[in-house]
Amino acid sequence: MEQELEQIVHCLQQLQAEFEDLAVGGLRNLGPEHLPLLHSLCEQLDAIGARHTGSRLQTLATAIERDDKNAASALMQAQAGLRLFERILTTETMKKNLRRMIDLERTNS
Amino acid sequence: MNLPAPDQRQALAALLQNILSAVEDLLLTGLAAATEKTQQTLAVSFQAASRHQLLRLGSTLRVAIEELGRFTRNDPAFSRRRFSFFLNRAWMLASGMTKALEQNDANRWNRLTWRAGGRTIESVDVVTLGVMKRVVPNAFAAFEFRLRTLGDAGTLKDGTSLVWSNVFPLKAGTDIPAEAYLHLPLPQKFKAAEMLDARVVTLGPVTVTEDSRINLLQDTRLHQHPEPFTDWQRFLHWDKQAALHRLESYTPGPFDLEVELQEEITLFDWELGEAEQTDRGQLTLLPLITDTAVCYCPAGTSDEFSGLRDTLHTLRKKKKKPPLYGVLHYEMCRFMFQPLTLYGAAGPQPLMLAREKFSQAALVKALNFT
Repeated sequence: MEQELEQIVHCLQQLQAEFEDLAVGGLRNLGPEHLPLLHSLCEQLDAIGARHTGSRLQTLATAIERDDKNAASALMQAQAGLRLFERILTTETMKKNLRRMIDLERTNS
Repeated sequence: MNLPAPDQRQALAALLQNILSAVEDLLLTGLAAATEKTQQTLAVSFQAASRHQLLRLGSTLRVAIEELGRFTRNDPAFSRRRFSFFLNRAWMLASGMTKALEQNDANRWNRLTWRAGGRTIESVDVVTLGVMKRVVPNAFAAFEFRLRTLGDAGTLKDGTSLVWSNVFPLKAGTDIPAEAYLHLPLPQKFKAAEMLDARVVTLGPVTVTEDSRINLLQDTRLHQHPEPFTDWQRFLHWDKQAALHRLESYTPGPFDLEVELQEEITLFDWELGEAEQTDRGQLTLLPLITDTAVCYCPAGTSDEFSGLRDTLHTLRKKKKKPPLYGVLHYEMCRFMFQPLTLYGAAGPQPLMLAREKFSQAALVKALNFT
């Protein structure tokens, strides 16, 4: 479970870094060369059950492929989706951790 | 705050549309090719948002513009993460506010333009548990004082946690430690440094916002009690049950900052693990390991954090380590902990404030902005 969570967090960090690169470098400049990685991250997101974020990423990839100016709003929506997913995953994980710590302290006292 | 008056809506809709277009242009071209027109649109929009009292949107734009400026100047402090986060937040706010105007949706407008209201407290006794420092060279030095009330005061109960922020503009090219600014007299006729003497201070009148921030008024005065405060232990703990309760009643949203869900905690019997580099080498994380948790301490790579890193490394060799007080938030499924104060036998030792001496004359010269 721990290892699975680490893989998910790694995927989210990779995607966040990817969005940062695209925002700084520009979608028209960097977008096309980043497409293979975006497609691969789409598959990873689907595999971990983050289908909503994955589908927003797919919309971004399609807009980049078509050199569509809507790629900018697609990037913003994909980034917001990633952020929300991270917040939900983090709060759920931390709730579990805090419950485990409370139980451990009760056992030890 | 309700929806803006009908005669203002057209201007606001145009302002929001300009922000959306400027952000999208920036994203399509990239920072290196950002046109002067785009940068100007963002700067003008920031001023207009502030004029319309849209402070959340305005402050978000301000940070994005600051980062854009850092990129243009090749400033090593430029952060891709900060730029990308605040640009996204500006776009999301402008986009949501546009929809609220189009759909006459007052609830959505209020959610996106919410500001914490305040209530006046005539007088409150507080002690300072720790201070967070943030310095942006040539821009500002910000200090966040973590306070606790002693005794009930108005609607505030004994032991309530309060935050007082103090921001000083920094003049370009000055070489004065940020801590020196804490020794400047405030308009309220006291110095922020008087809050750092490990003594109880009485402040009043002040306003306290719904998110527990304390604001000084023009006639706020400070009275420092003569006896040193020693009962620190009552505030040093990590109330995991209360933290869990807060997490359980929290609904995550796309506008949330990680640090908005913070806990003040104290670590006991901790060990220092091996440093991790993250955020493309811009951040050093020091793991602080206890018997039930690992908390990651962001310790930068800049001089700003050198004191903290040195203190923690010095303590590594000690068998019995003093309690470490600080603020905790949750990020990427980890406990992120910013230590602020060591509570050893000699009392509180601030970790983010340098102890170096400074020249009063240099400080006065630095204040001469004209």
